[in-house]
Amino acid sequence: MRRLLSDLGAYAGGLVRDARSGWDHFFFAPADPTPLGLIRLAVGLLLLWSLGVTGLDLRAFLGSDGWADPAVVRLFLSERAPSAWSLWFWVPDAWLVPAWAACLAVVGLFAAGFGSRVTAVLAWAIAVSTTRRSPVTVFGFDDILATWAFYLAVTGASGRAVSVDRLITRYRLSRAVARRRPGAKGRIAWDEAGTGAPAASVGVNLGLRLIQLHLCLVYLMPGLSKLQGSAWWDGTAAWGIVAAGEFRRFDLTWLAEEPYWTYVVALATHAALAFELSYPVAVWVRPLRPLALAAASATHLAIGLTLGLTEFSLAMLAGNLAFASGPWLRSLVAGRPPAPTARVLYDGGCPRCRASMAVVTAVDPDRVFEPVDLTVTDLPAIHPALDREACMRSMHVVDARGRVSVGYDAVLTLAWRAPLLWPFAIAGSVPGVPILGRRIYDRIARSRPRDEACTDDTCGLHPPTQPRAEAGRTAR
Amino acid sequence: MRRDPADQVGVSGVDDRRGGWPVMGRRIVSAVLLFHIAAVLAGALAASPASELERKVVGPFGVYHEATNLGQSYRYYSPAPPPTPVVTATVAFDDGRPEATVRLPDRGLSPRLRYQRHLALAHHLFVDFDEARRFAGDGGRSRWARAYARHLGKTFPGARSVALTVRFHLIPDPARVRELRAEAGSRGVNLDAEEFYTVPERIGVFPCDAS
Repeated sequence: MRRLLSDLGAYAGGLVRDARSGWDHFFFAPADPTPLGLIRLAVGLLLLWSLGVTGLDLRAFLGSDGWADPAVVRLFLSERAPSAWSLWFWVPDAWLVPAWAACLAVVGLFAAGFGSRVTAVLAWAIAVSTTRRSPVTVFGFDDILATWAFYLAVTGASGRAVSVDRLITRYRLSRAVARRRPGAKGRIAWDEAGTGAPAASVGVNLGLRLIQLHLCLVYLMPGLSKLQGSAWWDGTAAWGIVAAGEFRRFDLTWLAEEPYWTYVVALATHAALAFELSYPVAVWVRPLRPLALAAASATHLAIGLTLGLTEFSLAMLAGNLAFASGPWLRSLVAGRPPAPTARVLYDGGCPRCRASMAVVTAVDPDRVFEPVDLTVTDLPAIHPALDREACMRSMHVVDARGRVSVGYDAVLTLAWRAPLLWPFAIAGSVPGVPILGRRIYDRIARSRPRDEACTDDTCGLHPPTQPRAEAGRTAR
Repeated sequence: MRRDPADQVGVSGVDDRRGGWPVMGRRIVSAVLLFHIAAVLAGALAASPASELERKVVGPFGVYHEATNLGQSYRYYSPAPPPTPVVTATVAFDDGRPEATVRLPDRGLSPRLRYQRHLALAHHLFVDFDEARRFAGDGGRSRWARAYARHLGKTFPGARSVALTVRFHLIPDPARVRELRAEAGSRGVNLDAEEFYTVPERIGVFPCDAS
């Protein structure tokens, strides 16, 4: 008996120690911020879209004469959720449009990752306020979005990647590196500006873990609850979803015919239930995780296409990003292993060019750009076709395949390789824009200052140690 | 009480921080995490059908749920995909104008998210109407119904009254769909045909000046 008790005690003690250690490892190990940054971007854009669409019915949804009479909403909340709150209750009708516009601006900043710690809290407050002010227009999408926004707000770490905040931090670092340029013939050590891989943090891990756990619950609960319904056992439930008259986007009534009824409808029903019940387990098993995420993607794609619940599906997919690997996500744009795919030849004697390289280094997703100061480099070693005169006239980019792009086209080449510049790349590639862009670029390049005629603070900190007349004093 | 060796800084020489967080910080955050996880679980489990225990456990988390907008039950499409409530509002005027009819959801709305919001309007009205009918014995006492009528009265100046009805857009019986497909051939099946709706139920007629 004594042995039994002592063994039981040892087992219990070990269990507690292991649980504490596992808990700490699960919640307090630093994690890569890229997935959380992407979740913030997705949640921000969805919230922006939702608010924008609300703006089409602003008075009907949030005004005092709207569907949800504020007096009734207050009564409703006082009975069912007395601690619930909404900022919209304090906004008079006359201020609805300015308040809505301010909310759009805040959510836009949140999506961009600007002032993330503050804008994340404000974006969550806006999301919750809107659902509480108009509880009759709320559906699953709003709850999921507000939940992800809550985790982004309380952990305060969503701006550590894929954000303007990080871009500013990296730009400052790159600019500081540029300022340390070791003389006119020295090379700037751009590597010292760090890589594109953001630093791991515990705050990020907390955000990801909470979203992961909550996501599992969001799948598990409907899965368990569906087990009560015979339609989920007899294989007919999927019909009830695709044939629901108010949700259908396409005519799928042919699914009532054989063999689709037996094989497609039943299979879809069983697969949906199996997915919801297995996801909360499979997604934690590393070899099965890609399968679980693929199944989630397929499920939400199907929901979005057949029911038109596109926003809900996107919100759920945003949550699934919490299980994605940061290095893998970055490798989608930076390659694996990350390797320079573009050598950027710039005029090291031009302060504006050095500042531009600081921007290029700051937006570099993961060392895919290699700035090369053409004034201290043997150009033929980089590409035999490079001409120093031409390179001094405008920026050249040489990609991994040896293709050379020049001037505005070089800027576009860089923009397409840096996700943060994709909006610029898209806008700058619209037919007609490149013609204008090349003219503007050439004008700026021709009039660019060089170190003797310094005009900005970047070069002002390190005046040239010797005349650079031979390198081309005047802009060409 | 035995301490985690990692906590014994200065004794074992093992670093007492994980991820740069001090022990006290981890303990405080762990307590908050435990509370939060318990709150979310309790909220998910308390929706019907739930045991008496599950309903009692959720009580202490009520304020937290309300303040954070958490505590949802996430029981989508269960126990089976439901039919969809569709609300019709008929607005009558004093000045002889013909009656105006508003359908919730309005099929003409775009983008799709606006339509989804109108589906939610109809759903929430039906839930409130059903509760009023069951607990107060009169569906016309639905507060949302009065609020909707008030809104429609303001939307249509000069409105005398708003009559609200609700019916269900049913999930079609697959056997009937097969019959119709056989009859219709390539024209397809009209899922908006009257046979796929229930008979409208009257929620109430609400005078606009008193709504």
